[in-house]
Amino acid sequence: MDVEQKLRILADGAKYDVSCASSGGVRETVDGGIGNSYAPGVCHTFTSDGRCVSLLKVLFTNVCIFDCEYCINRASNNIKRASFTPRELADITINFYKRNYIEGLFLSSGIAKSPDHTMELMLKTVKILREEYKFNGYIHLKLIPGASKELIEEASKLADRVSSNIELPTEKSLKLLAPDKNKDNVLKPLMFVKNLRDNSEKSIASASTQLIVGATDEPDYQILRLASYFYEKKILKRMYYSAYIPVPNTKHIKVDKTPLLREHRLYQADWLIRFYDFKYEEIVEKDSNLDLELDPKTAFALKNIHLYPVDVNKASYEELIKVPGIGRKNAMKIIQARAFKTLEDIDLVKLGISIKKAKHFIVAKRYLGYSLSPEYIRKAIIKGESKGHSYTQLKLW
Amino acid sequence: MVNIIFEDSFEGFLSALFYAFNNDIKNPLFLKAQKPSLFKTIKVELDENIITIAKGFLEEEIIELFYDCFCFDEEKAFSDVYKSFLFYMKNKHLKDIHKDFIRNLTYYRKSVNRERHKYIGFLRFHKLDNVLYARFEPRHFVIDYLGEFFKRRYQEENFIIHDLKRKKAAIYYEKRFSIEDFDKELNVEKDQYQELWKAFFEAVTIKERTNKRLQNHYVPHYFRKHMTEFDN
Ligand code: SF4
Repeated sequence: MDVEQKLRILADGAKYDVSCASSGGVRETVDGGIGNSYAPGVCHTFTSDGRCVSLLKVLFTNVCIFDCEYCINRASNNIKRASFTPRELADITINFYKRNYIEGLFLSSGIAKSPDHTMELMLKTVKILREEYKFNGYIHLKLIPGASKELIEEASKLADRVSSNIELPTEKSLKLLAPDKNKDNVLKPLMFVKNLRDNSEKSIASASTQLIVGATDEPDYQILRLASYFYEKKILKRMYYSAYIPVPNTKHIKVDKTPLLREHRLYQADWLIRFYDFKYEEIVEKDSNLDLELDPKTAFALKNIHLYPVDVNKASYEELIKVPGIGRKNAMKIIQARAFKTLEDIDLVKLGISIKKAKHFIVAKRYLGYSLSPEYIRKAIIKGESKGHSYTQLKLW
Repeated sequence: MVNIIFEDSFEGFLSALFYAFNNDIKNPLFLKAQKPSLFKTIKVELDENIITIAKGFLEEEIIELFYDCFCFDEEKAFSDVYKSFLFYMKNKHLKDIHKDFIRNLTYYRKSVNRERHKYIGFLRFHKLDNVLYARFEPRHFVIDYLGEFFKRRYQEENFIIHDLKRKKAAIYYEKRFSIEDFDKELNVEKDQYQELWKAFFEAVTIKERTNKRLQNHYVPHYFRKHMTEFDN
């Protein structure tokens, strides 16, 4: 098989989100979020489905001895298989990088022969790049579940980011859909990395993970609680959520595909937890899902209407960022601008702040357009949003 | 009206700003190249010490802002910078967002920054014998910024970033960097990795979700002429 054919197969195998052989930043959809919230931040091109391409994202091999039900590469699935050699893949990477096609490499893999065998081949590729070709671009390595501690530590020294996908929020679901995996072998790699980071002076890759949303029936509450736990314990830098996309011939998965909107809402909630000091209990009710119709900040505001309206001329930074539609940057802008004059709503517009949502929750000089009726606001916002939704703008690695 | 011709560099432009200010010239029009004109024309020589002089009057931040607006590379921007410069000399700040010419500066800077950022991703290099060669037709003057960026990225390489529109290039050769007039278009040949890149680009597309409008939004057509993966 020639290299071009391999590249086609192994890029194709990595593009779908669901498999340990993929993802991490795959479908970031935070609106109002900071553009480069996924690591390498530069888009080198956009595919005709409108996604950003930043990294050479491929599998080392799509051969796999495991049989995870949600994964296109599972052993029992009948597909064309291919494997790179470390040299082939290193050559493609460095040559793409010099032509400025990519920021770096995102390498994951199916499990050929054994976890250690696969991890070794991946590491060999990365060593050729780093040591022989003096490649200093970005590298994201997927840690293979069940690989030994030594290999995982080596990976986290060579890569900028490593990840190990938890895939499913509970052990029960894991047992059902990924019989070869268990909590232990998916979590261990992340714990090795954390321990190494805690005990090392050198720079160690940050870690992330991915959860498949909707293949099993855990609610958003459970998912966000898990995420909060990882953030609090500093085990993960990022959690990625991936709406389940159906693969052929599943036994246990009953759902069709999960709406992308659910994934989008999870990213928004995650963002609020990481950067706005929200607690997961504040934004999602026990054992239930996020509101699909409203972004989580607005949903929070409607449930806590007594905290509003917020006076843009007096409110603290913390109060300002709790206003739906006002982010951290805009809150700073408001605070700077009001030093010069008392602000009217039109001043906000001049500052480039969209008040479409915010107008329901603020007071300003000569402006009293806020509302105290959650029902009214809900309707108004949903109506405004139904025109031109943007949550389908997907970003890809 | 008076035309002021300056040497085509930021230092040249600054020299012209100070010249117009010192000589109290009313309604100057700043031009890079001499165009036939009915109005009086003055050619301002580059002052070697202009940066030091400017630093005596302007905060670093303001100089940077003027620089970005200079890179916008249009006469309207030059003249808005001049008006803002006068305003600053009088008031020692540029915070009055009610003045058009001050607000415009933010617009120029944004536009320049956006283009710089886009080209960090969209610029394509070709491998010639011992040099990486990129050519493109940017709206603004961005090769200096890109040159600095790629200097860090390709430390061990030689490269040429060629602005076909302005006939200038950022050249990094044997670790020396310069911006130069550059009028020849180098010959590039197809190579294996371009084909592999196209194959990759195709393979990662999810065909069922085709959304050309979104793609056009992110990669407007005028960028594509020099991008390997798009058929031109
Ligand atoms: S281990 Fe499971 S998820 Fe990973 S590639 Fe193999 S079958 Fe897919």
